[in-house]
Amino acid sequence: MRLVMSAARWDCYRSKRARQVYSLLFALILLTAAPFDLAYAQTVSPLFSLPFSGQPGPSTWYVAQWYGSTIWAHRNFDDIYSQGQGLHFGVDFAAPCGTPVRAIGDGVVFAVDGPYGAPPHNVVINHEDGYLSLYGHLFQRSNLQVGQHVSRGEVIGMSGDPVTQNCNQASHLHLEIRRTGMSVAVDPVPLIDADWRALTIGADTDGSRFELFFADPGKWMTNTQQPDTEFGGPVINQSGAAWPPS
Amino acid sequence: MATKLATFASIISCLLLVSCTAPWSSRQTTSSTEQASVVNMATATEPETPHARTETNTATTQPTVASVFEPTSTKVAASPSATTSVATPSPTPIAFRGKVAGCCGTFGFIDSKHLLVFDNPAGQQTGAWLVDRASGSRTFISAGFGLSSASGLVAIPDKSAGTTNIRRLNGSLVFTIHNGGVLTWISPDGTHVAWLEDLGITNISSLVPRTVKLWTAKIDGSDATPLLTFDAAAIQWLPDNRHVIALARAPDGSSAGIWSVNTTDGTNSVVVRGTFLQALRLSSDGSRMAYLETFSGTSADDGVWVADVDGSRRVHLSESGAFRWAAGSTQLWFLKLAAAGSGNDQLLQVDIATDRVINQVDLGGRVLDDDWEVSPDGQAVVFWNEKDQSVMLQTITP
Repeated sequence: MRLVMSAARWDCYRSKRARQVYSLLFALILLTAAPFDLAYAQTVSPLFSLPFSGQPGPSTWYVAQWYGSTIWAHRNFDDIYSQGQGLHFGVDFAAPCGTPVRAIGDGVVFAVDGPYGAPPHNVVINHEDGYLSLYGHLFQRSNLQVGQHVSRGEVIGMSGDPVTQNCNQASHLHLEIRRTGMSVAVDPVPLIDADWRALTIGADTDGSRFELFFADPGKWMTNTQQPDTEFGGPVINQSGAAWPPS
Repeated sequence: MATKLATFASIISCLLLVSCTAPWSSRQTTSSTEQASVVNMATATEPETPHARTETNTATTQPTVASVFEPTSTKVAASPSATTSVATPSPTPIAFRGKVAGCCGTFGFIDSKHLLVFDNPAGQQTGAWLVDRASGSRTFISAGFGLSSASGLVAIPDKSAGTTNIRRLNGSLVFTIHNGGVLTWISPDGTHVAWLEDLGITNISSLVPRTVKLWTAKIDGSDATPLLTFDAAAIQWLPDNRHVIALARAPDGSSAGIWSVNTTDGTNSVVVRGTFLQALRLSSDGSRMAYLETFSGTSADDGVWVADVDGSRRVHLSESGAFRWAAGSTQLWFLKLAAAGSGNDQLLQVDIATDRVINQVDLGGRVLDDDWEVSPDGQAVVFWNEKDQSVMLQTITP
């Protein structure tokens, strides 16, 4: 991707003939390098939709925690996120219990209440391009069956609360996107078509900000710079001094 | 896959051939959406029936003079037909405007004259820098970052040492407190500190604050006293230097809301009850607080509220979104985000008593990750700039 960007800018200062030469060269690179295609698709062409319909707001839903090295993840690294390298390996959408949750893309049901965490109930959908979406903390077991086809936007369950069925502590949907046979979680933000800035509605949670590492201040500081999560891998967000301390 | 590759290649080739005058990273054309927002603003500033919903009759309605201010080159003005008085902009006071840090989005106003930012400038030290708002000059304070107080002291935790260093604005060390190197809040008069000790109780969801013990001590760390145990992540001192407020709940999940704790004896009360309250912010004079209520079960009750610090005189505002206090305790600034990929964010100044927008300012950029703060005097805003991830300081009132 960086090669694409830099080539384009540099080319702007060259003659038309030079541009044609570089265009052909570039097309050749793309045709012969499959990994480039995947990276391009990930960063430029969102594949999925949001898991809720309607607008975010204080009565509907909003983003309470980003994927990655959030302040909340840093604070809870050794219990909630210990299996995910200390990272928050999904996006949390705060929503009242019972809010309809929708498939973010077409796919086939891979698991219902499978062994993938996010209790009390979860659903996993297998999509094209090697991605799987996980919908966690659902209020009740989904009516979907493994192997069943679902369409983008189809209701796959209702949001719940992992702390209590009374729904008065942490009602939210935990959305993950995984690949490599469920062993790796990736940041959903670049993969979902949304105006993400508007989705936090000013709730000002510590989940909407990222930990600042003094030794590498620019590292993992925005919601498009987060590392993949390898489940079972070592914790990666606890080295050295950071702000805020936990 | 081959079809996709060919498609990408064709698109890239076309772009390279025809888009030389428009580098991919640039945009900034005025869209119809932006124009529409100006029209809406003009409508919103016209006098109309106040929307503010007050729970008691004690709120006073103050006469206001709406003004229109044009602090930047981007024109944002009310319609000529608007029946509001238009204040003549006075010359901009001498104050630095521009980049104050090159990275990170970690900053806060110490007082109306000073800003604390974390930065890693090339060839200089990485850490907390004190920025003089008038000149933009900077002074290095510490390799770490910290919370400041109106007293002119900064509490900089050192987790590895298990201590918190209390420093003056010139960086000199005043005291070292042995409190585990956690977030430490200094009272406004600089005589006391408070902190939250994580009790290490396993948490089920990060949306629930961890169970902590609230401690207070004198500014030198002596007379450290545990006050109470609750679920909370942050506290704020009131100007009486005795009470702190916090979004909290009891460890069993009950009594959720805004707590007020007397730091002299630990007595406490829930001054505003609410299961899902967010974004608690104390006014710059410390007399009122604003917060966001969500998922109350009654949509009319959701949104931004303002109340006295004892929970009385609650007022519901019709404006929504991220907010910060203006000077005093009578107005809030709301951040109105520009649409994805186009235009600058705007700040709307809302008068609480009348629930009316009385001012609009073009921020001159787009806020990244909700990181923005208004100075205690209400005359400057600092924000993390989406464009280059620098920290920008702007003047927002004449």
